[in-house]
Amino acid sequence: MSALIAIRNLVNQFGRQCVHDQLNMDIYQNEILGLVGGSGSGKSVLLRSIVGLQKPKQGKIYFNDEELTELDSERATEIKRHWGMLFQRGALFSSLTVAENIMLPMKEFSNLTKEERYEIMWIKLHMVGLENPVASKYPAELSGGMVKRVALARAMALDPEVLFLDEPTSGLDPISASEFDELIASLHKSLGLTVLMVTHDMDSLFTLCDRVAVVVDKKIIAGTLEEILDDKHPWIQEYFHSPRALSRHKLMINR
Amino acid sequence: MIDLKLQQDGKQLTLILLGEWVQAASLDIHRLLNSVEAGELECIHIDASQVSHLDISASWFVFKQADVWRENQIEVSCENFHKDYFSYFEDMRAQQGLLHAPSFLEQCTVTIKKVGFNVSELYREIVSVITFFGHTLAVLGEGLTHPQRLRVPSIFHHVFITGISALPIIAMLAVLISIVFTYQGGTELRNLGASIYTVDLVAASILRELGVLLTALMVAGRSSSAFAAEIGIMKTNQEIDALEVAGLNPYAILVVPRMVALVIALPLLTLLADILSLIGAALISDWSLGISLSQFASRLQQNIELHTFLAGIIKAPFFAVVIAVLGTWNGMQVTGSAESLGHHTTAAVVQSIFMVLFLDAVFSILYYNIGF
Repeated sequence: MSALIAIRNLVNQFGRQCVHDQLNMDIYQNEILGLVGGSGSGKSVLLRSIVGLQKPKQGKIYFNDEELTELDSERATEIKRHWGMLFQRGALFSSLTVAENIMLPMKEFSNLTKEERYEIMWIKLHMVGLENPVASKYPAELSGGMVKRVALARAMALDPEVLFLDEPTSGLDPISASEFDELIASLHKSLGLTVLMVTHDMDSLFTLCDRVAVVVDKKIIAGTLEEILDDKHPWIQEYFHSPRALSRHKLMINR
Repeated sequence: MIDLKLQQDGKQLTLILLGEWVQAASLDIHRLLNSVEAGELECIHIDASQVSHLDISASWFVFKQADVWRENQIEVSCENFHKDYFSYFEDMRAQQGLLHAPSFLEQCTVTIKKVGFNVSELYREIVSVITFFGHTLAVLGEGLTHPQRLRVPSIFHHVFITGISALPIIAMLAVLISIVFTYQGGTELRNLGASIYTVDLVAASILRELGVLLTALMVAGRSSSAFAAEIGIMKTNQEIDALEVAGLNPYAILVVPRMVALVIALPLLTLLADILSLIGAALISDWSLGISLSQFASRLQQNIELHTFLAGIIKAPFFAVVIAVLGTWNGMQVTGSAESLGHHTTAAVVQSIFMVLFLDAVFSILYYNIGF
C-alpha cells in the first residue's frame, strides 16, 4: 500500500530551536491517523507544514506522489481543493453567517451556481448534524460544539479526500466530544475520507484511530495502537500508562 | 475526465457513470446529464459501479436530475450509489422550503426588517450611552468622596498615553493652523491697509475656537478609537467578565481613569496649542506681514482679554468627557467578532467627532446669549 501523503526528511527550525529533525511519516488512504505528542513537541508545526502554512527548512512532502514544497501557487491551490482543515478553535469567519462560511470555499473555488451552493451547503449542514435555523446565525452566537460542527462542514465544502483535524474535541464537554467522535467516524465511513487528527483525547485515540503517530525526539514513531502501547520509549510509556490512558485501556480490554 | 455511457434497450436506458464524478467537474456533469434525451423513455437505470470517484456534490446532481426525470413519469433507479449520501439528501428534502437561495421578495423583507432593527437599535444605543454615563458619574462620585478608590497610577498612565504622547502632533497642528490663518487673514487685511488687525483676528479665533476645537478633534481621533479598541479586545477576551466576577468594578478600573485622564490632558493640550499658535502667528506676522514682535505683543495685550482665552479652554473638559464616554462605551458594546470591533472603533471616532462639533455649536449659542 503506497502512502497518500508521505513526509520525507522534514526539518523545521525556529532560530536555534530544532522542532523536527529528519522526520518521516506516511499517511495511507482511507485511514484515521492520530497524531500525539507532548506540548511543544511540534504536532501543530507538523500539521502546518503539511497544509502549507509553514515552509519547512528542509525535506519533502508528497501528496499522491506529487512534491508539495516546491509547487507553484496555482497547482498548490488546486491540490488544496482536495483537503479540508478543521482548526482548533474553528476559525470561522466572524463577519459571515454560518451559511456564508460554508459556502465561501465553493464560491471561490468552484463553478457551482448560487442555487447549487445553497443546496450543497444544506447537505453539509445536515451531515454534521445541525438544524436549518443555524444557517443564518453568526459564529459568535454558536456554542463551542456547534462552532466545531460548522467548521467541519466548511472543511468539507469542497468534498475533500483528506481531512486535517487539529484537536477536534478540545474544549468540548465529554458528551459533545464523543458525539463529535461518532460524527467523524460516520463521515469517515460514508465518505471514505483520509483523516489526520492531532488529539490529546484518549477516547478519540482509542475509539477512532486506525493508527497512531507519536512525535518524540523530533521524529515520528508510528504504528497501530497495540504496537505503540508496546513501544519502549519512556515518553510513550508514560503517556499511554498515565491514569487517564489506563482507565481507557482497561475499558478496551474488557470489551 | 468524466464520461457517461448510454445503453439503450427499447424504452429502457442504462446510464453508466465513468471517471471522476467530483464537485470540480460540475459543469461537465450538468452537460452530460442534460445531454440525455429522456423524451420517449419509460425507465432509466443509473449505474455507478464503474465510477472511479464519486463525491457528495456529484451524487446530489444525479439525485436532482433523477427527480426531474421522475416528474416526467419515467421510472428511475440508482444503483451502486452510496446509500449514506442518499439518506443525507432524503433527510434534507424532509425539510422542504429552505432548499433555495433567497428570492427577491425575501431579500426585500430582509432590508425592511433591517431598517426597523436599526431604528430600534439607535434608540437602545442612546439609552445605553446615557445609562453608561450615569454609571460612570456614580463611580466617579464614589471615587471623589473616597479618594483611595481612585486609581491614581492608572490615571497618570492614561494622561501620558492620551496627553504627553500627543504633544508632538498637537504642537505641529497648532503651528500649521496658525500659519494658515495668519497668511490667509493677513493678506486680505493688508489689502485693506489694516494688517495690524491680523493680530486680533488670529488671536481671537484661535483662543476662542480653533485651539480647543482642533485639539479636541485630534484627541477624538487618537484616543476614542484607542479606548474603544482596548476595551473591545478586553471584552472579547472575557477580561471584563473576569473583573466583574472578581468583584472589581470595570467602570472604576477602565472607564473612570480614562475619563479623568482625558479631562486633565485635554485642557493642558489646548493650553499648549493656544500658546504655540500665538507664537507661530507672531513669528509669521513679523516675517511676512511687517508686524514686529513687540507690536504683536502690545496689540494682544490691549485687545484680547482673559475671557477670550477662558471661553475656549472652558470647553476642553466637556469635550474630554464626551470623547472618553463615547470611546469607552463603544468598547463595551463590542461582541465576539472582528467585524464588531472594527465597527465600534470606527463608531467611537465618528460619534465623538460629531458630538464635539455639536457641543461646540451649543457653546457658541450659549456664549452669544449670555454675552460671553
